[in-house]
Amino acid sequence: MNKKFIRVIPRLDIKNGMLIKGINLEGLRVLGNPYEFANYYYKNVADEICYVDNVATLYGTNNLSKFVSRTAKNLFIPLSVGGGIRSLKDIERMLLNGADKVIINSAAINDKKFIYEAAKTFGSSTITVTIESVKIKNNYFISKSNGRDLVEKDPVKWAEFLEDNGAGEIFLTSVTNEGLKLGYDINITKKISKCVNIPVIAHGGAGSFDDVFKVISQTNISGVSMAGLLHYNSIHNIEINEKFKIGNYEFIKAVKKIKYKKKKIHILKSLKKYLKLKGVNVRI
Amino acid sequence: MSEFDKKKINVGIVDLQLNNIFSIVQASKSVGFKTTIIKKKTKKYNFDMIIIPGVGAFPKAMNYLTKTGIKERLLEFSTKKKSLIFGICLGMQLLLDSSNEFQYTEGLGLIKGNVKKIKKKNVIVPHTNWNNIHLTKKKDNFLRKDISNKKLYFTHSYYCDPSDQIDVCSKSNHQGFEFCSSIKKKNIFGTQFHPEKSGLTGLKILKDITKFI
Repeated sequence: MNKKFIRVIPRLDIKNGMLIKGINLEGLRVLGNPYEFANYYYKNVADEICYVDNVATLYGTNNLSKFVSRTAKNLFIPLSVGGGIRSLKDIERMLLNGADKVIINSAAINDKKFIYEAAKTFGSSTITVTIESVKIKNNYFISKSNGRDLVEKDPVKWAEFLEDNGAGEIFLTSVTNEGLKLGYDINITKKISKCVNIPVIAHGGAGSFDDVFKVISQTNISGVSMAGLLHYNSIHNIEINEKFKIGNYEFIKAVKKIKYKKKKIHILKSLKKYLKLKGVNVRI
Repeated sequence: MSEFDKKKINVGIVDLQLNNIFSIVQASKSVGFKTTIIKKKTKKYNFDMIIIPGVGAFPKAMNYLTKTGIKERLLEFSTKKKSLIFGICLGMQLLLDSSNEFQYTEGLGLIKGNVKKIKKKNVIVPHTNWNNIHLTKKKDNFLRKDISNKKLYFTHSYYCDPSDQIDVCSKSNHQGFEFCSSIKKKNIFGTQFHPEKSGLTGLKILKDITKFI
């Protein structure tokens, strides 16, 4: 087996134009301005940036496109965008605003033909589908609307269905592990990445560099994505505008103070160096 | 370029109406090109370089180029002196004779060869990843030697299989599947990877190409 290249993808969850981070995709906390984070990660050798609007499906709105174009302007790496994408028109709008790929979840569950139509129109490599896996007493299910509604489907069978219908990539989020920093769900990631022949990206639960290495070495994934592990350790490197109205500005300032001494540490670069030392093929 | 001609390089970008041309326009601007979007068959193409970008389906793109008459103009442009055509990803594939994506479709025929599907056991398709490229010729190559240590961004399920190996500038290897990742024949250039999505390395390639005008 050839040593596969692994993409490292910062995931930025957005709500009302702010970068947020929660636990189990809930309990959200504002961290700052998404494009400043995106730009910072781009300069620190991110292989791709992933934007997800957390409340788009819930409220049925789609404000994301203006943030997409503002971000894409200076970002010369791939940008994938998700949240509330329901129609071919939604996809087209995202692409016109500078997204390279779209990430779909709820719409694929609600309309069985949607992924097929989307792949036929825009090409498979443009269509990424999220699988939100939920573990309940050793049984796996999926969810939609960003972890809000449980759907009684087996994630492995669902992954096969998506591949057959032309999905170009699977973004696998473990809702159960997300935000807990206890590691990725290796079990389900292994199963899904083995059964499909399209790229699988693992997400949810990264608490340490070793967690990231574990999921890479024990499964057949093409990439890893993480949020909190990067964001909380990058705040001190990102300037915040005092005029910027964030409710928990004091919280962010406090975090910045604690981490201030570490100013020279760039977490994403350190993570990639760590992976390389462990023998993983990553772009430095 | 001549001494007095230090003005901005004038680049036409073909809009295939399929997707994102935002990235290539931004990348072109960032390296100092003057950009114009080509949507139809205008009177004359007064460009130094024409970029054909794109991710998407071959038949749909070719159909659009033929229907609008852009195809005819591109073929004229290719014979002009001091003109350069640069195809990226699907744009590179369109330069060849034909493709079997969905159905047999004729391409622009500027470079001999066909477009085929990536097919090998246990190989992940689409090839959506950063990957290395290995230069296959020294003479008449537009990529520099030091590019071999760098990684570039790919996303495709089909690849170019040129008939004349002399046109191949580099090859890449995806899980044991080897394919042509860039081509050059006279003033016709193509890359399977996306220079506009490959960070600073990619932007440099985009800028360097204009030295051949």
